[in-house]
Amino acid sequence: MTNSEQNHLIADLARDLVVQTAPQELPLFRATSTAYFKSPDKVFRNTKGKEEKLAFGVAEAAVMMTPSILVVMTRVVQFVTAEVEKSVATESTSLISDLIKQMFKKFRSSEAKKEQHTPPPLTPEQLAQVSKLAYEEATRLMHSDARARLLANAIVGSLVTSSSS
Amino acid sequence: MVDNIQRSLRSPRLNPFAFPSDTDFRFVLLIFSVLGATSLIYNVLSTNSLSSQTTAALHCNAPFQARTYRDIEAIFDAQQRYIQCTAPYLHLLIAWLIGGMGLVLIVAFVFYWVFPTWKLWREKLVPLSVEDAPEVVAYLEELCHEVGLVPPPRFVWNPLNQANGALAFGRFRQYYVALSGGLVTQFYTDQPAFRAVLLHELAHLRNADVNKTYFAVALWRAFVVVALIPFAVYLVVQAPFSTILLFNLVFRVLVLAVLVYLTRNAVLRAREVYADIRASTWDGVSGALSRVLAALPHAKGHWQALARVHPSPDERFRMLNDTSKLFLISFWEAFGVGIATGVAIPNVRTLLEWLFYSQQVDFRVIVMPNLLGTALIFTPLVVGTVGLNTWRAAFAASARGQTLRGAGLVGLCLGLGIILGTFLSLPTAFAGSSFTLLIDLFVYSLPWNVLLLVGLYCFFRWIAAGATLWLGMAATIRALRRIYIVGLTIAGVILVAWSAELFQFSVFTTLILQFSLLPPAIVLTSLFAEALLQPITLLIVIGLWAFPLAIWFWRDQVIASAGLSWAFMDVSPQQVTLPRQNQLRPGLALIVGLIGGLTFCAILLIVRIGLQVSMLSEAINVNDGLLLVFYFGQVILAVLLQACVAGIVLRSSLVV
Repeated sequence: MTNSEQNHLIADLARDLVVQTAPQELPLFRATSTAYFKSPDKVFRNTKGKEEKLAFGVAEAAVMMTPSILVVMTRVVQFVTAEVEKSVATESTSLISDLIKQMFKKFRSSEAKKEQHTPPPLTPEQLAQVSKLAYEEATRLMHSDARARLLANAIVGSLVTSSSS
Repeated sequence: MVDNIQRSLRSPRLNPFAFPSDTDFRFVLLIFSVLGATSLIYNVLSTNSLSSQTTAALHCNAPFQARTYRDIEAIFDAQQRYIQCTAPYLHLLIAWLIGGMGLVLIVAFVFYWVFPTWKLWREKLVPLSVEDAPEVVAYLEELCHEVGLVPPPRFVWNPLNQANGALAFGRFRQYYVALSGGLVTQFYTDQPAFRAVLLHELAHLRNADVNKTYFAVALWRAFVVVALIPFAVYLVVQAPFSTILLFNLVFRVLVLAVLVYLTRNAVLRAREVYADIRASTWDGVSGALSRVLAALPHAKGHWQALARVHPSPDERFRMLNDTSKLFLISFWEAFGVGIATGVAIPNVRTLLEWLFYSQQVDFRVIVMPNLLGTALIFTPLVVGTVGLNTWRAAFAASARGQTLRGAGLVGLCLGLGIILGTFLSLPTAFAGSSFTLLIDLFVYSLPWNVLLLVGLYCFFRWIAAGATLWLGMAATIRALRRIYIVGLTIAGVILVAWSAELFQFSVFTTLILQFSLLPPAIVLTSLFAEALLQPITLLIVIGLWAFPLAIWFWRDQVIASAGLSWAFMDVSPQQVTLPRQNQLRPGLALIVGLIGGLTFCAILLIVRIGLQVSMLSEAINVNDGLLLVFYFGQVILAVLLQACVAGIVLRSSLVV
């Protein structure tokens, strides 16, 4: 289960991934993410094309990446949260949230590097775990090795590492 | 013989929009069929709500049925007494039936009016906003401007719908085009395909499909809710009927329901093709419409195709590149129109009859107005569907340098459909067992059926011949419209007059053959001769030859060669001409006709002189049988001479 702050973070990060990997789905993102956080299962309901009067024809359903990106990013954020919580076990929830954000390049500013509560970047082992997690989850949802690989790489690329920090 | 037309290197597509679509008339026919069926279902339901009046009215029938009459006047008097007896009951019944039909229309209107709101809620459609997809919104505005849709429809979408599709719906002055999320993404990945799909939906709006389609759907649903379901409940709960009657009713209602459903789907499939063709004129040769159609999934099953509202992708692709199939004469469609007409006519006739009877109008006085009223309702629909099809087919055949074939067969199919439809109509369900009905159909109604089939066969051949002649006058699309409107109106007037005569013939022959002791041959020939001698018959005959020959007065304006830009959709580098028709020779027809007429008079004079000289004329005058032989002999002679005249004139290449 994720809380509302985490949802914002997931949505923010997922949006960036959509821009990178499936920019044509950007117009759908707002509605899809809202529906996802309300009821994650609903966005995966297979919308089969059906024959309707005055429609073009029986349309095939396109395979969208956005729902899968949201799910994968949720798992990644949950994983990163768990790792951060291990290292800063005694801190408050809001501080932990800030720390989690800073694990991602987007939210990590240069000043943050000097702050005392800046969490250490993910180790190569942790990154490998993230990559594996993202890849497996994406493969399960999208049934496409190429897409899963693309997504996993994009996610890993968005995380702060010891070399990028 | 016709000259060959000049063809361009790549055959341009015939313009199906040069003629109005017959689907408008078919929608109206559908409406009449549904309302007619409603009136009869409510008639069945009235046995419960008007039970005491129904019981009283049944007693009016017995004395009439129990007797047979030698005198035709006696039959008419008995019928009039029956009408007077049942008038109070019919008054209430008419009000009940009109109420039932009114209820169906009101409920249909409500369904039609709320459908867009329901659709928006059901499919979770929201306006496509600038915030979500600014480029798409701007593109759609531009597209509407490009195709001239003013005001543009409202664009809505369901971003969670991953299917790749769009849909047009709405109601009067409030039209929507719904896009799926999947289709919106296609704007960015394959914009030509996106454009093609949207053009198809905008074409539906441009072709004015939305109101007709959704009202027809609403009417059908209202019929199910207001008529069919109460009917089914009544049959189960009340069940006062014999097995035969129950079977007759249920069978007919089911057949009608299936017929209406299949007709509705056939019409919707036709609208899809027209939308594709309209869209292709906007999309252009380099557009993606063909590609998108070819990529549509293929549904399986031949019989399931009848239930679908879209033609197969292959068929749509073929029609897009070759529109000539839209101009073919369709025997099955004519048969279907015939069935719908045959089912509906007895319903309407019965209703009109009851309307007159409730006012206690003399039976003999109302027969023709009733039949004329029925003919006036249905003939325009038949002419508007099958007649218009014939004009379109004649145009396509002429444009291709061919002679139209099959027009007569279309008339036959229409006639067979009417006969079958009459057998399936609900009033005949009360006529007894199917065996009784078959006797009615093949014995009492046989003369009428034969006349109907022969008449329609000749009539549609006449329409085709007239159309082929007059199409040569159509220099512009406006001229074309004037010509086929006038041509179809004249055909309609002739068919109304002939139908009314035929219905009257049918009514009287059935009545007299059932209740009279007179020999059937005498009854039939007397009634037939009486019908022939009516002034209206003469007017029909004059109309039949005057319409095609009237073109002689405009013979100088017939197009010898002209670019027929309206006839084809695509710009052709070369001019296309209609084949030159042979010049009419009315002078030859007049002379040959005069000679034929004078020959008849001469033969008649010789025969009469011969009879006088041989003293046989007095013997003929006192013997009814000989008198009939003499009289009909003259008729047969006249018919034979006219046939010879027609053959001579035809051989002289009067008409193509």
